[in-house]
Formats: sequence, structure tokens, C-alpha cells
Amino acid sequence: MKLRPPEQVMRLARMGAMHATRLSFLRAMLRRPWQVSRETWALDAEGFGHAVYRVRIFGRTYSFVAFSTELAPELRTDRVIAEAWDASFVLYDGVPDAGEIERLRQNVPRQEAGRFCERDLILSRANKSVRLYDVVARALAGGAQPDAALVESVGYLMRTTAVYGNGKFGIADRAAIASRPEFAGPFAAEMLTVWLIRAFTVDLVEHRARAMSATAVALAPDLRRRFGVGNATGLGMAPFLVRHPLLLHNWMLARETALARVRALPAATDSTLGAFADAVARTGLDGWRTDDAVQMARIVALRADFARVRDFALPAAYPWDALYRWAEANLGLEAQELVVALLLEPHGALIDDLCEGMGADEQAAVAIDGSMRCADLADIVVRDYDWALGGPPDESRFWYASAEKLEPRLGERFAEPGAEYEQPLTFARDVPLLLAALRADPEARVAEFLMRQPEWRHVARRVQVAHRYPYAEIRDNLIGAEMRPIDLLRCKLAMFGAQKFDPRSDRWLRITLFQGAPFPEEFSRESVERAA
Amino acid sequence: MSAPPDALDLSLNEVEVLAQKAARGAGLAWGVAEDTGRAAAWIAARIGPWAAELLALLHVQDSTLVLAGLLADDFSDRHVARVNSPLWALPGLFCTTTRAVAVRLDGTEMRCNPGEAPTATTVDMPTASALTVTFAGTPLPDLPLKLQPRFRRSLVGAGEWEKLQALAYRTYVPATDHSRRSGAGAGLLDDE
Repeated sequence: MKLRPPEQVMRLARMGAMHATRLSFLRAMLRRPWQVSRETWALDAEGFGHAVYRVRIFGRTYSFVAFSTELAPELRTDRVIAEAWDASFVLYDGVPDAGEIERLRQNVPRQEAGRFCERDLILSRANKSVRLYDVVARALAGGAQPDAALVESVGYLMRTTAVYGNGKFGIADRAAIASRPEFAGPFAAEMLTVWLIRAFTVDLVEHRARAMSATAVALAPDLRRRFGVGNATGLGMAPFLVRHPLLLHNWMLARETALARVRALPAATDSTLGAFADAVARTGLDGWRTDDAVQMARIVALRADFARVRDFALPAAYPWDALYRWAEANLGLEAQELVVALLLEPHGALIDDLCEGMGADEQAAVAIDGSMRCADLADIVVRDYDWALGGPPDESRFWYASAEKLEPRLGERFAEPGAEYEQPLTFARDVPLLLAALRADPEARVAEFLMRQPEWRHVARRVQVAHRYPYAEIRDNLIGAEMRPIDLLRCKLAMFGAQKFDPRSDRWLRITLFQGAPFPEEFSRESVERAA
Repeated sequence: MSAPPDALDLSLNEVEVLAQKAARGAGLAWGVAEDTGRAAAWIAARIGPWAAELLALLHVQDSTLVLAGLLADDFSDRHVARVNSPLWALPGLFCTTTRAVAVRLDGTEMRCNPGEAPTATTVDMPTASALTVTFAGTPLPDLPLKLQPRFRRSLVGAGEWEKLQALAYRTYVPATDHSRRSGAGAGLLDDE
């Protein structure tokens, strides 16, 4: 079974319709035998103070430390440039003593303005969902469960606005923990942290309810599971996929390989048919709502398409391939990609090993083959970048880093200053220009060419990397007026395992993570049972 | 490694990002700046101090050649290069993917086979200004010292850090009212 080719997969329209799968990083993280216990719960009646959760796995111990602080309403903002939050978190390597807790208390609530060290692995913060937190606390305090429909539609008690890893603000480099099996694969430590944030938010709201009333009740277990954790993501995440081509390639290759393996199965078994039916039954599209007109129209179309998926009669021979081909021929992109996720779901034994290949050492994509002739590099451009060679592209926007908060932003090239500081998300424009330069000097070696014209160095490297790793390049213009940055964000967030994509504009969105997933205390028990 | 008392304890990722932005801010091409960032992290992990030398190099008019000129697979056969700092040529040389590479600078010899850690006769980097690079089609025998990552953090003096930050700052675009409104995305007060 052939893989779907990059020219089909690596388009913004399809990337912007991707759904989480069982290969997503949070799912991979949840397949590991974490043992979590709450060690410290030092919060006052208002819910302010700190808590420590101990995490044990494979003979190592980590601590998740949460600080809950009072936040004035006018400071509560989703923007990454905020300076205060309802709660802040750190995943700590080992067990912090009192002095370390104090150091963390001085720094973690300040986030970017704090300073961190190698024992601090992941840094994050979150704000309460004002809509839901108080409602839930009051309901529980009054002895009742909160309204299930409201819980389902909001989906979380707190929303993170950043999750930092890999050396930011002095925390540990990814390389320092990458060889530990519990953190194998991309973003495992980040996913662990967000999972623990979710556990903390539910513990916190129950604590608050108990403080309000001696007769408060706990959340009913089934309803409890419907609380995920929210996230608001803006442009800060978008350039990542362009700046980490090997990682993107490995993610996409794993996913496409998994799909090809499933489609190649000549028949389904009773157990995979049952698991597929379960996955279809669990797909809750009714709770997915957004005020974004474009996305809401897609969701409405997806619901109609999904009804047809449910009615599709799987044939006996190559049933999964038949479903995929039917979906591709008859359904919209949202539904096609949902079918991909559903097809992967029952086939863990066949595909979960692919998660091991989803990490990447970007160093492998650094060396330039300077011995190549310019004419040969030009041939590669013509073959691989045909999508970019149709004429001068629309370059009405530019990506830049803002001086104010050092975060990626998107500007209007012809209306705003700063285009001279443009970030290199410009390959759709620059590769054709490189081609012209290469053709002017066809017999030169690439090394000599780049020595004379170093301004082409990153573009030449890109072409060579994309040639070796075909899913590394996004085959669309990232600086055109029509480009929707949220398509980039959606792709990455789906890889994380996000649900309920809720665009708030064309450049930021909210999502839900872990809704329906087990909690640490259930999970530890289940994983012990699984191991038994 | 001695460090001033006001030194900052940087992660290696911070080293890479800071060096890359500083190089770009100093006017080097993007691809060269990328290689400079990686070289800084490479040196910080295996050798130690990097910031003072990078600042000196970024003040040289044509540092492009120094910082990026010598990627192992860039060149054929035997190459003698005059460089401002041999140290900064090494990381690029040692990301070889196809051929073994041997480097000689003054009395020090270093070798690297594709995909392996380089080896050397010493890790005290001489300040020679010329290095001889030889490529080989077959693997070279290892030398006694393995140039593996030794440091996971990098101490940088506050003065050097500020100078590098000042260069990096040139790559940022000042905010305007318009960019504040539209550029970043998330902007509503979170009132839900």
C-alpha cells in the first residue's frame, strides 16, 4: 500500500483539517505506566496556595508543583503577553525540598520574567474558565452535580496559555531528558504536565466547594471525566513546523505509514470491528462548537458527512481501504481526516510502534551537500517545488518577531514597517529565486556558490532537506493574503492530541485536551491492572 | 571553567537561540546565522566558553566565511583555510554526513567519521589561524579524546550577554498600535 504522497498531505487545507489520532503525543504519553500521588495540598479556603503531586515511573521520581494565586479580573487574558495568571506550574526533576519550593514560589508564578534551572523541566500557566469554574464550585457546594451539557460545551475548568519546554528561561534542555524512556517521543514531558494540570483543576474546584459548604459533594466519576484542560494558542506556535522540518516529516510519515498499514489489511477481525464501532460511537461532534463562521460551516458539513460514515457498510475484503477510498471520493477534508483517525483507532498493535519514530534530531538535517553541482540542485528544485514555480507568489504578509514580547507575529508587508526583519517562512517565494540564481551558475559546486552568495544558504539547505525528507515541506505559500495561520496551528495541535478546535480569528484558537481521558488516580489503578 | 560572579547560567538551547539571533542581528545571512547558533551550542557543550569569541567574530567585516564557510560536505579533497577562529569552523566540519574528515591546526589533530562523535588529540583549542582539512572516503581511526558533550549548561558573563542581546534585539520589529491589535492573534479579555 502506497503512502499518501506529500503533494496531497502537505497542503494547508488538509493540515488545517487534521484530527487527533492514537499516535498523538498525549495518547502516547497515556500509554506509559505513570504512578501519581498527591503529596502536598497547601491551599486556603479560597483555593490559593500550592500543591505538589509526586510522579513515579521507571525508577525515577518527578514532582508537579502548582501555585494558585489571586488574579484581578482585568489581568485575566489569553494573550501570551499576559503577566499574571490564576495558576502556574512546573514539572520538577526529583523531589523539591523546602528551599526549592521557595525558589519555585518566587519564580514560577512570574513565568517568562522568572529564571529557572536544569531541575525545572516544563513551565506552564493557566487561567480559570470563569464561565464554568464558579458554576461547578457552587453546584458541588450545594450538594448537586453541575449541568452536564454546560460541562460538555465548555470542556475545562482552566485554560493554559503557554507550555514551555526545551531550555526556555533556563529550564532543562530537551536533550537532557530525551534519553529517558518515559519522555521518548515529542512533547511527552509537556503532555504529562498538561495532564497533571487537568487533575489539579478538578481537585481545586472540589476543594473550593468543600470550603464553601460542609455538605459539598465530589464530582460524579463519569462527569469528572468530561473535564479536560483548555489551551489557547496563537501565532507563537506557527513557525515551529517550518523551523523543524525533520520533526514535521517524521510526524507525518508515522501517520501516513500507519494509515497505509491499516488500509493494507485484507480483512477485519471481530475485535477491530468492535473497537472501530466504539470509536465511531465515542465521536462526539455535537459538543464541538465555535463562533468562527468558516470552522462552524466545516463542522456542520462534517456532521452530515459523519452520518454517512456511520452508515457505510464495510466490505469483507480490504474493508479499511474501501472506507478510506470512499471517504476520499465522497466527503470533505474534515471528514476524510476524521476517517483517518477512526481507522487508526482499533489498530494499536499494528501501528503504535510508529510513535517511536516521531522524535527527531534536527542536526541530521543540517549538513549541506556542497559537492553537488548547482545545475543538479536546480533539477531538484524543478522536481520538488513545482507547486511554487507558477509565477511570483502573493507576498502581502511577513512573519516577524515582535520587540515587545519576542513572539512571532504576522504583519502586512505593504502597510506596516519591519519587513526587513522578516523571518524565513518564505520558501514559496525564495525557492524560485534560488532557482534563477542556480541557473546563472550551473557548473559551480553548491559550496562555492554559497560561499559567494551566503544569502541563499538557508534556502539551499531547505531544498536539500525537503528532497531527503519529503513530508518536511508545507506545499503552500505562508506569506499570502489568503493563508490562515490557524491551519498550521491545527496540524500541530492535532499531533498533540487536541480536540474541539475553536478558532477565535484566523490566527488564534482554543482547544481542549484530555477530555474523556482517565485521571491519574484511575489511571494508576488501571495500569497496574493492565500490567497484572 | 572560570566565570565571573555575575554570570548567567544558560541552557544550551538559549545559547543556540541567542547566538543565532546575534549573528543575524550583526548582519549575517539567515543560513549562516543558523549555523552560527548551532556552532555556539556545539562549542558550549564540548569546549566551554563561546560568547566572547563570537562577539569578536561578529565585529569582523566578513565573518561569513569564518562562521559558515566550512561545512564538511561543502568541500572536496584537501582544503587549507585561513580563518579568524578555527574553533568556529569545527562544528560545521563535524556534521559530516558522507565522508570522514580530518582537521589539523597547529599541533592539534581532530577527526570525525560520518554520524559519530569527533575525536581529538587534545580539547585545548589552539588559536591557530590556519587549518588544514582533509577528507577520506573510508573511516579514520579514532584519536584518544572523544569530543562528546561535556557541559549541559553554559555560564555567560553579564556583559557579554548584554552585548549579544543588543545584537539580537536588532532582529525584532518594534510594536505599533496596529501590530498590537492584529499581529499576535489572541487579544480579547478572557472573560469566559
